[in-house]
Amino acid sequence: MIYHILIADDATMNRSLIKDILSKNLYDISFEEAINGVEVLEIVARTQIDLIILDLVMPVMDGFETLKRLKSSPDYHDIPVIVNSAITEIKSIEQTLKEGAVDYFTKPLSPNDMQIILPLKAKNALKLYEQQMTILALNRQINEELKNANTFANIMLPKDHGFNAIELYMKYHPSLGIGGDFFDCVEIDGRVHFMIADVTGHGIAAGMASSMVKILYRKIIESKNIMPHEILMNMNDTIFTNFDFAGKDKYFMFTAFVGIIENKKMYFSNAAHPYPMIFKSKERAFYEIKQNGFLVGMLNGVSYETEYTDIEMNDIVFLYTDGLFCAGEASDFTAWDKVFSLSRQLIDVLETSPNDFLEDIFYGFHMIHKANHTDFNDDVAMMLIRIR
Amino acid sequence: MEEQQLGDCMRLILLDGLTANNVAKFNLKIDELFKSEMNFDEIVLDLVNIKNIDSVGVTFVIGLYKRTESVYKKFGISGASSDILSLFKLMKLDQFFEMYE
Repeated sequence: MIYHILIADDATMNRSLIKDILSKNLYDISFEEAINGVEVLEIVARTQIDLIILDLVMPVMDGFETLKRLKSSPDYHDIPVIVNSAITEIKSIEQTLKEGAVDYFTKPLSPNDMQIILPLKAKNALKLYEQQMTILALNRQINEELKNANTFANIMLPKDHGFNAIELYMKYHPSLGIGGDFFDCVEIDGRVHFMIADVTGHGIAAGMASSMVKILYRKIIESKNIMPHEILMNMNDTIFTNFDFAGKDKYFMFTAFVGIIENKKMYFSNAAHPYPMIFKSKERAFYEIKQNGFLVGMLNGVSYETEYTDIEMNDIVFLYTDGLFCAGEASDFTAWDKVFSLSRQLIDVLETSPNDFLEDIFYGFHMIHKANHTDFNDDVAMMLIRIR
Repeated sequence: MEEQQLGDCMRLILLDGLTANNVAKFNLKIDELFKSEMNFDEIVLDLVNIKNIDSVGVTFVIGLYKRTESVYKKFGISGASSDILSLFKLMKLDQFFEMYE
């Protein structure tokens, strides 16, 4: 790789001297020269520059102004700048370091500066820049991958139309574009099957795991008359049968709440998922659907149970994942009571616009995290099912 | 994490939140412990200082329980807040190990 170094100095002799020193000590370099700041900006606009050696005192546009413009430009602010000036300007040099110059040297150059210091400074600055560029390229690549993964995750989401017995409303916010939260809802032969799950951790690995959960779920509910506890047991057994790491040191575990709506009843089974809520429209009140159960993927051969509750037209089931209240160092996996209390405050919104209700819950938790100075960076999934 | 052996019981006192950020360093300590002679019969994870827990933290507790059980020793937790206790009950973990006050 050839490094392109731009030397900006109005004195021809200084430019020649610096060029000479660097040529003798660095390999694979080429030079550009400028006699003022305006020329510097023109050169960086048309040429790839990897390092700028910038004199602070120049006509037309001095080094201070040039540095300010370079550092405020999103296109050029990463280019390392080594400033230089007369020894009497040392105070000004200090200011330029604060403004983003990576290093400095003073003139006149001593023999030591010429042979050792300046080449070393230039080498270090180029190395740092190369590392920065590698990180930026990797970040771009990762972001592109995440964007693709996010598109795929969105394809996997249930569609909010095509149901006869219910209306479906959803909000999905994966922290990294892809996440371990998963929900699904599908109507088969007059039965509405739904599930919400949260795979341990978040990010790409959790996203891959949640894709597997979705496929597994869709396959299992093909069985006629299957009940929620059988779905969970089947999933748990399949994980232990198919993945030899299951239950050992690399865990693939998730919380899940599985339900079936049929003939004005909602059958459900819970695998350690935060309690969902049901909004009884006649009473205009929320109730928690309380049932405890084992995490899926934790222990082989455990059993789950199915319970049911009666439901009527316009009742709404509200399911959510712990990402609302559980994120970062200040995680609090136990704060689901806040979801319950906030939901009760938003009953009017729920009745008029379920989508706004989901947005308001999300915003409410955003504000709670902000007030507590905690991160809101876990995956969040919420689903409302209104009975027709 | 602080280790405190009292007779046959090894008490592991957590000093940092039981969250993803800290679990890796807890696991290093646990690896060291399981490589040692282990001249105790029970491991008790002391959660008295723990205010925050996330899903990775829960996985850590379950992993430690299973690892302890695999070497035929008893496992329990102590000092958990009422919120953490209700979380463990939600997961039915109280069916597997003791939850001391």
